[in-house]
Amino acid sequence: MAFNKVTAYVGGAGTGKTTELKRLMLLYIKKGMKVLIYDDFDHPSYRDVPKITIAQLPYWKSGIYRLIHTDSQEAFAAISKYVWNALIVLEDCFKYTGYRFTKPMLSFIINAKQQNCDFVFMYHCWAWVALDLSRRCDAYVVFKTNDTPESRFTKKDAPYLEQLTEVHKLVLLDTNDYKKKLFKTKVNG
Amino acid sequence: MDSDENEINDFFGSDTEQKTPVIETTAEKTISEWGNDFDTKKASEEQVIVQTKQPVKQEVKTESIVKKITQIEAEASATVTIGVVDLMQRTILNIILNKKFEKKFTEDQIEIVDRVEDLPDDKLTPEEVSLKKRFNKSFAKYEKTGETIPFNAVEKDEMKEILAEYYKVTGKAVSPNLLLAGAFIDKIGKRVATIMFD
Repeated sequence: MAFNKVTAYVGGAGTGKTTELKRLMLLYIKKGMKVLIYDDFDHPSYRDVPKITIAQLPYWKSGIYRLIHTDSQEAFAAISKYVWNALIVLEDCFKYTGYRFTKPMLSFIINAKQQNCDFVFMYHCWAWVALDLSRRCDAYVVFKTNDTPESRFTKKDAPYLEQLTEVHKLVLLDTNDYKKKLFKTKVNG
Repeated sequence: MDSDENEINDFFGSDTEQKTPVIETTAEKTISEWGNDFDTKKASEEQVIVQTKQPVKQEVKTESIVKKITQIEAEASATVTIGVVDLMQRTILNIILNKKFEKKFTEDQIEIVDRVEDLPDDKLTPEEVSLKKRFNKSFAKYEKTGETIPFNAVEKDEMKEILAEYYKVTGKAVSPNLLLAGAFIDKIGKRVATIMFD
């Protein structure tokens, strides 16, 4: 049975998020999946990735594309309608998701399970991570940040907060600037 | 590859073979290696090879999905359509106008007008002067009416906008071959119309 993975990449600028994500994208391509990077801004890090428009989404067969569309609701509606078997990367998503996900956004994430889509939410710091994500997130890939998970979550929001904080501390203490660690939440098993 | 990357790979369900790429090479991967592919037909059923995670077959949607066309396609289709429609209406209306004008004068009268056209009035008979004036007045009216037949710039813009919207809504654009043919018919036809009626 297909299930969708919701992952958050949290790390400051220049900590290796994009590089790690590009590696992950290649894994998906090798698995025969598609990768869609969504942003409302033409991010320089992905200039080598070809663009796709909402109108072209129904005709997309394979590979990696990025969707630049200023109206995020319209973009999510199109993605949820046309994108199947894909990794959907929401680059710097605080800009368009805010602290709370809108109802269509939540439906989109939950319904994506049926379309075999995985999600990666990219955040630059813990303070910007949406509270709704804490309950839906299957894993965090923790990079170095200036703040801590405690600056965003309480134990009520994230029962795994203590363990997550420990992992974050280990990453911060590491001498490698690009240190990352995977943290699986207990909420979703 | 370090243990953290292995852990991430395992989480995302990769097999041993898929763990070979390293960060440096990945960052330099070109678009072609990413295997981008696009289909002109809607990918109604997706076939992918996966061992660890089997992609779900995309349901064939029963409702009709209107093919979306680009702004350029819509505008090009609208421009050519207006050009051809304008040409048609110019041809038809000019023929009607000519017939209407020709009915006003007999062949003998037109012959007289042709003969006396460049002569001063004092050298003509009163009947010839009267005929010449009537002809010139009618011809001026004919020319004025003829000028109003082609679509003006404002009309063209308005119709272009409406037609472009129509093409976008219906998702049907004029095919490239017809666009080309339409453009030639429009340009050459206008010259033919000018030669015929001006």
